[in-house]
Amino acid sequence: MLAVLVKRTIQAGLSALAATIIVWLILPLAPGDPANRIFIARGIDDATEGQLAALRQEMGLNLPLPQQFLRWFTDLMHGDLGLSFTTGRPVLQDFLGHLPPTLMMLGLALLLSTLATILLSLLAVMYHNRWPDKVIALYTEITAALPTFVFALLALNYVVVGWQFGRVIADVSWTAALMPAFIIGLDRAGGWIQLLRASLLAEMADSYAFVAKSRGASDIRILLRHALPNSLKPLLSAIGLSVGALLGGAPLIEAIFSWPGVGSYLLSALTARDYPVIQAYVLIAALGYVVAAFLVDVAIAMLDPRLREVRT
Amino acid sequence: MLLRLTRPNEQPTASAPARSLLRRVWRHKSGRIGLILSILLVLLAAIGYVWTPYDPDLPNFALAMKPPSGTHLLGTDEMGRDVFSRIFNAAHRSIGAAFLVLACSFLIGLFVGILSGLMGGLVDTLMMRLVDIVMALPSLVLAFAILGILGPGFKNLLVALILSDWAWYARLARSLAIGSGTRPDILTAKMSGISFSRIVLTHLLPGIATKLGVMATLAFGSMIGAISGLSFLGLGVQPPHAEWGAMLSQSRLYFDIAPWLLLSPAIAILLSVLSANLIGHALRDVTEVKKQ
Repeated sequence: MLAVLVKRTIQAGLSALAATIIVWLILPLAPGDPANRIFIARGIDDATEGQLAALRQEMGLNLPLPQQFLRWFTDLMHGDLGLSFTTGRPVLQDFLGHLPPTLMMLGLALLLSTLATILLSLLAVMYHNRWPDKVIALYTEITAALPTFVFALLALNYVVVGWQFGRVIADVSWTAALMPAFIIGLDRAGGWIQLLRASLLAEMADSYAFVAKSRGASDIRILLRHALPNSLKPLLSAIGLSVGALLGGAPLIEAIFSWPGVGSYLLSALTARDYPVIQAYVLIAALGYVVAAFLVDVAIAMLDPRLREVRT
Repeated sequence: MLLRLTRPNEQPTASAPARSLLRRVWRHKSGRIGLILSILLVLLAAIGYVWTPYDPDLPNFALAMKPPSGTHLLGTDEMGRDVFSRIFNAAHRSIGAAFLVLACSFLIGLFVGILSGLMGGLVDTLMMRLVDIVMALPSLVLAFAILGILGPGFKNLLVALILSDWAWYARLARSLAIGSGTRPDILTAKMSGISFSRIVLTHLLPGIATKLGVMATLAFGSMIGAISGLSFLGLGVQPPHAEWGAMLSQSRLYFDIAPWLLLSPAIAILLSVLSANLIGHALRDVTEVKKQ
């Protein structure tokens, strides 16, 4: 187990390092003179050559690129992602201020969709090929054919606004987060149900299930005690990948629900070309993705004793 | 005929040529519905590119916000533009863009993957480190980063999506190319003295391309979602041009008085994703390629 942990930690660290390289590249790759861009973002269109030179000196923009990266990376390790071009305030602080609403909504969405997936998949398998299974299959097809944001838009306008169900006030409280989380969670659950249902059915058809049944175990017992724990592995991997998709989809989801999280913060930064803010978003999304993948790997190793050995 | 003979004991799904794969999808029930639906959609998109009942981008404020009727099948929007013409005209942008992004990712992935799988050594190491870097980020997050550098716009959106998507194909192509070294048909071909380039072109390439093509088909739905989603945020197609996601974004303001503005693009997206999903289901049934 320890060996697995060490190996996964090293892998996660390397992924995170790879991500920081991309994050840094945003600045030198952006078109135009960086010093001039900073002035333009601050609302100064006609910076003099003297001002530009001073800023270049101050920010180390004259240094060779590897040195610039080292300087930026050292600052990053000290929790400094630079100042926002538009507000002039430290980006990381502003960003962390926007993070709790996003984490609240996405965390709740993940929780709700995991619960819905397990309940509905068990139901579908218990009533295999009968009407509850067919209704659930139809539901998963609909969510698969609608991109998350279209599903959210339709649910918001028809169910919430149309039938006066729930609230649309985004005052960042758990009750306000519940409605968007519920809609996003229901959409996510669709694909996961297809996955879990298929692997539950495969497990139930396996020979050990037959042995358990012939020894007098009830169907429910086989399902809950044997098939479900054995089927969790693909679901856990899907949940890990979903964290990435949710972090990438956060700007869209937050735009639809007028939710004041990091996604909305990113969108305003994209239009203002506020590069340090874009960097902060990409960095934090990448770290969230790496951490999620790490946790999923560890959880799978804990579930399956065979994976506790390091394979070479 | 010679080719057939040099492929003993091969599972029919392992490197089936695309033509017979298409035939098997056609025999599959949901595959056939998906194929018919997607051919219809592509035809409509092609017609909508050259001709629409009304000018899709020309405002006519006298006709604003008319509900669906005989003259305007899906009603008109807040600027009096015919919604049917706009949906029709936008089809080539959404569907064509998804097709273009997937085709480019497919080609780059195929080339990079097979090259690094066959060459190994330094080329392989460098290419795969690049792939690792690209895949360290969730695709959409990387797309946002690239759009941040390039700025909003339809072309930039396509570039951003290709740059964040190709690595998945490269990784699959590479692992298939490396695994092919021990395949019985490749070994047989080598032993019968067929030249290296001929083995790559006639034995390796078709099988790998088919598998990557299946993967691209399975990704079509999420690509339509990404393109319309980013256009919804104003990062893709710019006004006055019509795009389904951008139309959805406009329609939100008028939902209570003009629900057809929201429903028409939503149904257009639903149908195009559904047709790709149906083909994807059939492909997954007749091959063993899994979703990303």
